[in-house]
Amino acid sequence: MTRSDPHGSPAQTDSDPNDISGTDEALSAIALVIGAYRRLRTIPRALAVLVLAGLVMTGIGWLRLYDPIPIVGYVGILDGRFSVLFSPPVVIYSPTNTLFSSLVGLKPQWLAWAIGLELLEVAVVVWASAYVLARLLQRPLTTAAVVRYAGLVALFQLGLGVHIEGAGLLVAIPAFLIWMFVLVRLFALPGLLIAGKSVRIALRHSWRRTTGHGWSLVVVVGLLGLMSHLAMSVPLVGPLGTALVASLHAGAVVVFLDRSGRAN
Amino acid sequence: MEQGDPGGTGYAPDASPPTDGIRVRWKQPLDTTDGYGAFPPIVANGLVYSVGRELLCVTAADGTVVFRANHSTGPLALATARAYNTLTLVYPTWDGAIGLNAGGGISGGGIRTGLSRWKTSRRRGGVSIPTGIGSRELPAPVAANDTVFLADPGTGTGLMAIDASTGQIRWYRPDGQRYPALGGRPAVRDETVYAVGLAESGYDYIFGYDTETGKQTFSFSPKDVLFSVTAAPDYLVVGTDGSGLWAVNYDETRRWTYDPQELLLTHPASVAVADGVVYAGFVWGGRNWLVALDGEKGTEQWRSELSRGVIEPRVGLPAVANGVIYVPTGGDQNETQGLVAVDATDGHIRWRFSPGDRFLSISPAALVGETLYTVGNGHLYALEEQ
Repeated sequence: MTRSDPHGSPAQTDSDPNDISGTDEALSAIALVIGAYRRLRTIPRALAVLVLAGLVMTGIGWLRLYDPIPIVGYVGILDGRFSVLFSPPVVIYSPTNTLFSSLVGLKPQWLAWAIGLELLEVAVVVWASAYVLARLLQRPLTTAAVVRYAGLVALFQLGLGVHIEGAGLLVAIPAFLIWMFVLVRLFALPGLLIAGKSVRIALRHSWRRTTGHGWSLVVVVGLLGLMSHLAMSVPLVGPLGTALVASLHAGAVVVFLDRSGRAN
Repeated sequence: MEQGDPGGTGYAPDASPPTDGIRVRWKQPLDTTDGYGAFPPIVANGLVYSVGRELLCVTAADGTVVFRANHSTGPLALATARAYNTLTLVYPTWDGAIGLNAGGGISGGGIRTGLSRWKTSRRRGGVSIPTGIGSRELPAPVAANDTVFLADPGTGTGLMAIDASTGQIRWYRPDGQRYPALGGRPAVRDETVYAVGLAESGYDYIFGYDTETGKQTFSFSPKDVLFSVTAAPDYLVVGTDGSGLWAVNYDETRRWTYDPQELLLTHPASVAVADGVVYAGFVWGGRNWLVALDGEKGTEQWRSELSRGVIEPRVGLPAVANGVIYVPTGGDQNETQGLVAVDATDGHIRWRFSPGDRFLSISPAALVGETLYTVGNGHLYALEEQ
């Protein structure tokens, strides 16, 4: 039997003596990942939607290879680069990107083409990940929630990217630790936005929910980020791999919200 | 020559630069310390681009600075980019090339953006370490329409065809093999790009490749070490180490050779071809010479002494227009070094331009309209008829 939290938190099940959910053990990294997998198995359409989005992203990446606009490809592990590829919203990564500097001076038709592809990528990611999160949360998807979530996706897909490479250890290590701290604290944010929370409240609740579970989430973020990097290292079809990782990411967010809400 | 001459002939048939005397129309400071600044300026669409320890772009009319960029560049090429309103300015790096927006991008509030367009690399595991002074040893790129041809700066043994719009390498030769080891400044004529390369036989060859597909269509070997290739309208002119200057027909037959006992071809070869005459730089006996050869038979028409008393013999790339050859020459006597204007009919010297710095090179000239542009003495100069 399920009951809803009157304050708008995701649905919760009645307690069972053998049910570890709500305990620290349920919020361990392994439990979150396994829980995410099990949750996805109950809604196979969620995975299918993300894979479809991954195919579209692959197609967009392929189009960019053949248009006359400069691109930057993903530098993966085959090129000797090690990275943790993770961002707070549930995203599918593109194998090619266009730098802002390369947009300057484009003929109008090619500028429209380049911007159009960027917006299409954001739209595909927003549509797919918002749908999946809503289905896993068993919540209706509202326009306001999608708009807030789209803002988060656009922020990270088009603008905010942190690359910690090439810097000395004295700079790189503290910067990495700070960034990991931020990623962990924002882990629950996408789910809360889709659940209908305002940006301010979602940030506050994510901060509160993740308190005390930092190490588990560091492992989850690191694991998902490494898997995304390895997936993106496969030329051209990297987005399909990151779509699978994105499904695990969405599942982990939902399971975390579910169990942390019960624990609190 | 607007945008440069892909054949490397140095001929600007539409230009009428100063012939009887010069005056400085304008000049702009350009940091050329430590040996930077030996590369000729490039002119296109009313703008002049030049390099030293920085990249400088000014208006051709009055030298107003359009932009300065902290790009420690090598020799430049300008190519059309099919997706852009402006040309792409290309220069080599130690592992590939960089393409810039020739219009300089957009600027405001002291911030410039949109200058960098693309970067391409052929790095092959590990880091390429530069060995020369600054960018002196980087190969010169050559632009033909929307493609830039460049010897691989990292390995020194390959030829790349780079799309000027995207920076993608359209083709690379040799592809997956060790030979031929191609290098030097390529030359383009009639949809074929020519480059010097070492073949597996151990001899240097001139190889020709289709500019679109990279398919090899030409090969010829004088059985000597080769320095350079220039693609004139009717033949190739090849500089060699021990057998002087060769002219090779496009059907892979030898046209003529010029190998006087008393002259040594400068290295790298300084060659220009205009109106059926080949002009080349030689050194001997502590003097720099410019020699004019009949393009049909290779017979000497005249030779002109450019400078003397040289510690470091130097004859730069000549540029030809309006019946005059403009050639940079170096030496250890200030009064004989600098940019020299030589009459094409008999080789007498019409004027000299010596900016006054005996230790730094003066660049080859760029000839556009009635103006001659050159770099020397820490400045970019625009010279006009006195």
